Amino acid sequence: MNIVDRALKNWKLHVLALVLTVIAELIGTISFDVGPAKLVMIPLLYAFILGALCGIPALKLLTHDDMVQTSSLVSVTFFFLMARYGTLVGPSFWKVVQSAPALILQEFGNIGTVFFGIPIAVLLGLRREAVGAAFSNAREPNIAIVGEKYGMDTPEGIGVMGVYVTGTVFGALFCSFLSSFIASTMSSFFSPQALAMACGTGSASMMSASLAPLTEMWPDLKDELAALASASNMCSGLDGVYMCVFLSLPISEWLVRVCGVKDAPSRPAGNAEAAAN
Amino acid sequence: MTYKQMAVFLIICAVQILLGNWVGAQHGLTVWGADGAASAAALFQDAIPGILVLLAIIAAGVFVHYIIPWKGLPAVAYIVTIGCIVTIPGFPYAEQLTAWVSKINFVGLCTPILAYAGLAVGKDIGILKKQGWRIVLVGLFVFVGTFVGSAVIAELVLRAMK
Repeated sequence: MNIVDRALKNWKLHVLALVLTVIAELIGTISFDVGPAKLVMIPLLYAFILGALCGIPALKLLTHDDMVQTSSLVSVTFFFLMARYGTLVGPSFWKVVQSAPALILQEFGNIGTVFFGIPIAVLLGLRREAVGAAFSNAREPNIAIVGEKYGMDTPEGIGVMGVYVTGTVFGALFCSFLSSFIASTMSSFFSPQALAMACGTGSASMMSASLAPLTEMWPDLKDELAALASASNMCSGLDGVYMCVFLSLPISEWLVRVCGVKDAPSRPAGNAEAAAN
Repeated sequence: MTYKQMAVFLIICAVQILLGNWVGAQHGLTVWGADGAASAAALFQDAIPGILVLLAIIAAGVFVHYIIPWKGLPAVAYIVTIGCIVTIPGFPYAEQLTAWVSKINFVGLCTPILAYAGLAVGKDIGILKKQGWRIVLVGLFVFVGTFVGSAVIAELVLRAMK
């Protein structure tokens, strides 16, 4: 039986997801002060953490096979989110168009990862891995780029996969804390609109997680912020690949040399592998 | 994934979203009073047209992806575009569609999605252990860099536009 069929018939997964959803929604949004920052905890974070806890081997709740089955379904769950995000942009469409210059130019901010990430990666002792790890936020299209240019069984491939998995495991949690921290401590500099645009980096789950604290802090602007964040996320999805190939990857190559890593770039093992990626 | 499998799973998801949305809309258990049952039922019914609209948008997006021979864009790109077009003010029935889908809280929509993502995440922990804490740390800095970089540019451009 095909893995998706097995996943669909695995009622344990769907009942667990439902129970976690209900528990998470019952807890509801909690915000509390940590020093100068205001942290906003939202139901999606509890759902994710509880789901991850279900996977602890000692609990014997989920087998490895259950997890592999679940991951075959995850991409389709995002269809609802994308449909809903489209309907958020629509009503504010003209407002979003008015903000187009900011929306387009802030895409260049994604290059911020390079100047921030590469030096730190080299400082931590990574070598060619630094290029794969820090040239982007390592979502699916970026993995494809690395696979084609360097191959996956290379230091660059290990770098991009490492950050990809980091994003899957910690991305939503971390981005939520990051945006509530920055929004509550630096709101004298950043407008909520600018922060909303920064939420869209090409990952729907990270965008939602970082957007939620903003809508809690500025409930009156809820619809506008959601529209800007989704529009920015759409832009990242469209231009992200070009941005990486023509800008952030070349800059990473240059910067990693400046930081003292002179190893030659890896090559894909064979044409077959390059084509497969 | 076949279209039939997709349809089955979308319906499972729709039920979970409806229930999660319903619990979330009541802010916990406050509605369970003496006359709570009626208002709870109304809350549940209010969300049904919205979820049907979302399902229709998804179906339209998947269909467009299916008929267009060029497969450079994933189905979600069409779904988000169609969702946007049908709710632009001026599109036939846009206001009605917007009113229906607004009963589905967009942050609440993520709860079941992240529940599934959480259930699946355990299989990645092993990879993470193998690759070590240094890459994790770099990854977290990467997310900070993307967010702060974009926010700074967006803020400066917005100010320049005023």
